[in-house]
Amino acid sequence: MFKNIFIVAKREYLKVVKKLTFWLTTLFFPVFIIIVSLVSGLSGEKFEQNIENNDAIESILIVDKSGIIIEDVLTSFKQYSFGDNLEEATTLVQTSQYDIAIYYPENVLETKEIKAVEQSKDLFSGASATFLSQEILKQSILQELGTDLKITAIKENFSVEVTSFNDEGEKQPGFERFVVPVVSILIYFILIMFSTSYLLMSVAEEKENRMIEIVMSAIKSKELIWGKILGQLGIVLTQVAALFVLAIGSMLIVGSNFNLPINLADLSIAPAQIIGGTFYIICGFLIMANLMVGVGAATPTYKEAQSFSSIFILLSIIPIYFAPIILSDPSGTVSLIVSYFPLTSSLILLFRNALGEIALWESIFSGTILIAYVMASFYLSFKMFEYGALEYSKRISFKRLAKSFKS
Amino acid sequence: MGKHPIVTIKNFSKSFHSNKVIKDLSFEVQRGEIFAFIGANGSGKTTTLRTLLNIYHPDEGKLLINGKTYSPDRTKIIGYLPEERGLYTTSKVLETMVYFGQLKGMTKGQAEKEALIYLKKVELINKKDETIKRLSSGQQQKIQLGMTILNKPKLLILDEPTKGLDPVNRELLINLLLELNQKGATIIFSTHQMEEAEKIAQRILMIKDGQKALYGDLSDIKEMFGSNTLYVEYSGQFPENKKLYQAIVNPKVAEITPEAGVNTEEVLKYLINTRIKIHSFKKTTPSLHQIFIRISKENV
Repeated sequence: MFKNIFIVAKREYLKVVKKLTFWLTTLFFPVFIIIVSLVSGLSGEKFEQNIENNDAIESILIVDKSGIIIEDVLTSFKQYSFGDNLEEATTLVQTSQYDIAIYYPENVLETKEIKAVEQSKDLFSGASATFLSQEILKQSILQELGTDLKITAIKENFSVEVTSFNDEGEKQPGFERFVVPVVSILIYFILIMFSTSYLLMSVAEEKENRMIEIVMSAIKSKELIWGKILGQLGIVLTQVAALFVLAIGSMLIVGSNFNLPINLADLSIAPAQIIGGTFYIICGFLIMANLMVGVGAATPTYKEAQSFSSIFILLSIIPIYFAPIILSDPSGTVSLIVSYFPLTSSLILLFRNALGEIALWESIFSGTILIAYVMASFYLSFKMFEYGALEYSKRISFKRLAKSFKS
Repeated sequence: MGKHPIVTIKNFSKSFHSNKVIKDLSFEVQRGEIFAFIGANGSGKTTTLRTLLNIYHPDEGKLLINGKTYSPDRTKIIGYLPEERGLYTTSKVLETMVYFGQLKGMTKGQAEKEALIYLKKVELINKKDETIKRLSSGQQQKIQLGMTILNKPKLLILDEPTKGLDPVNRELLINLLLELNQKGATIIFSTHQMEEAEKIAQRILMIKDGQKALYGDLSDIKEMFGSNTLYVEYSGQFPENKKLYQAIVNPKVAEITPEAGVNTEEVLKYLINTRIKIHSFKKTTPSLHQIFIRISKENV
C-alpha cells in the first residue's frame, strides 16, 4: 500500500517541481515585492537626503510676523536676511536676489500655514521649500529648550522595553508577540491556497484525461488519494522552504541596510507551541486537501471544480472577518465558536496557539476534535471520489452522495 | 478448457438510481480463451467489467477472478483497457509507461525494459522522450495499449478495445491479442462490432438489457441458429422482400435469413426472377452480426 502511495506521490511531486513555471510562480511575487520595497526604500531615503542636503539654496529671506524665528538657525546659509512683507520678498526672489523667501504669519502656530516663494532649480525644489519652511520653524522653537541633549531627545525615538503580564504569568513583549502568529498563518495560507489549486487541478486533470479508470484498476482509490495529497504536501513544503530561504536571505540583506521594526532576538517560541502549530497546520491542510480531492472527483471539469471549491475556501477564510474580535479577545466566545467549526478550526486554533492562548486541556480536546474532522473529511472525500470519479459528463448530486452514506 | 474458470460471475445484479442495469447475470470465462462480451450500447457491458474489477460494487451476486473478488493488490495479473481511456498528455511517453508499470507491481528497471521493448516493436522508440500530446492519435492509442500489456498480464480485460482505432492500429491490436493468447493469456473483450468478435473469439456472451441473451461456444451458437442462411454474391440493386427474408446487404454480398416457414429454395427462386445477377451462393450458418440483429429484435 505504502509503495503505491509513494509512487503516486513521487509522480505528483516531480511533475510540478520540475517545471520552471512552478519556481517562477513561487518566487516571482515575493521577489517582486522585495525588489519594489528595496527600490522604494532606497529612493525614499535618497529623496529625503536630497531634500535635507539641498545645496542649491544659498540665499534665504525670512518675513517673520510671528516673532518665533531666530537668527541662529539661519547661519548655515551663505546669505540670509529678514524682510518686511511678502510682496517685496516675492519681487526679490523673482529678480534672483534670493533663492527663497519664507513668510511666517503672526498666528502661524494656530493656523499652521506658511508661505514660501522660490526659484525652481531642480526636481526637488517644491519639496525642499516645504521641508525648509517647516524645519526653520521647528528648529527655532526647539532652540528655546536650551541644551542640545534635550533638543536631540525630542527629535529622536526612545527605545522602550515592554513586558506584559496576565493572570497566568509573563508574556512576550509588544510587537514581537504577533510575529509567530503572523508567520504561522502565512504558512497556513500558503499551504491551503497553493495546495487546493494543485490538488483540484491534479484530480480534475486525471478525470479530464480519462486516466482515472485505468489507475483505479491498478491501485486502490485510497492509495491514489493519499498519494496525491502526500505529493501536494511535498510541493507546498518545498514552496514554504523556498520562501523561508528567500525571507531569511532578504532579512539579512535588508536588515543590514535598514532598521527592522522587530528585534528577532526578542522572539521566544515554546516547543509546545511549535508542536501544536505544526499539528494544527497539518490538520487544516488535510481537511482542505481531502475536500478538494472530493470536489475534483465529483465534478466533470476543472473549471466546475474551481467554482465549487470556492465555497469551501470562502468558508475557511471567514475568520478574517472576525479578526478584530479574535485579536482583542483570543479566548472569548466568538473565538471559541470559530475554533470548533470544521473549516475554520485549524486556522483559529493555530492563531490562538501562537499567542499562547490554549490551555493544556483545550489542546487535547481540540486535537481530538481535529483528528475527527480529518477522518470525516477523508470519508467524505473518499465517497465523493468513489461515486464521482467515473462520472465524466455530470457532477454527482448531494442526493446521491447522501444515499451513498446510507449504503 | 480448464476445469477452473479464471472469471466467475454468479447472479450479478446492479442498479443505478432506480434503473436496474444488470439483472441476475451469470457466466464463466475459462482459462486461456478469448471471450467476447457483446451487446448493444447501454446493455450493461461496461458496468459488468467495472464491477468485475471492483470499481463498482454489485448490489447482488459474486464476481470473482481466480475464485476471489478482485482487489488492486492483484493488479500484477491483470491488464485493463477501459472504454473511456486517455493519457497524461503533458507527460513523456517512457515516463508514463514506467509509472504504470510501477503501479502494476513492476520494478522501475523491469518497467523501463518492457516499455522499451514494446516501443521498439510498435516503431515508437524514437518518441520515447516526447511529450504525449505531440504524438498523433494513432500513436497515442499504441501507448495506451502498451500500458495495458506492459506487465504481461494473465488476464486481459478490454472494454471496446477497437473503439476509435484506425485500421492499422486495429490490426495491430488484434495481432497482439492473438499473440498474447497464444502465450497463455485469457482475454475478455466487450464490443458491439460483431465481425471482430467472430474473427477472434472462441466463446461469447451476448447481453441484452442487462440480461444474458446468448452464451456459449461461437460455433455452437451459430449451429443453434440453423444452417439455412444464404450468402449471395451479386451485382445490381438488391431487392427487399420482408415477407420472404431479412437481409444484411453489402455492395457485393448479401446475407439472407429466410422468414419462418420460408425455405432457401423459395428465396433463391425469387432472387433469380429479379433483375440482379447472382454470381454465386452458399447455404451456411448465420453470421454473428445476423444473430445479433435477430436477438436484438426479439424479447429475451
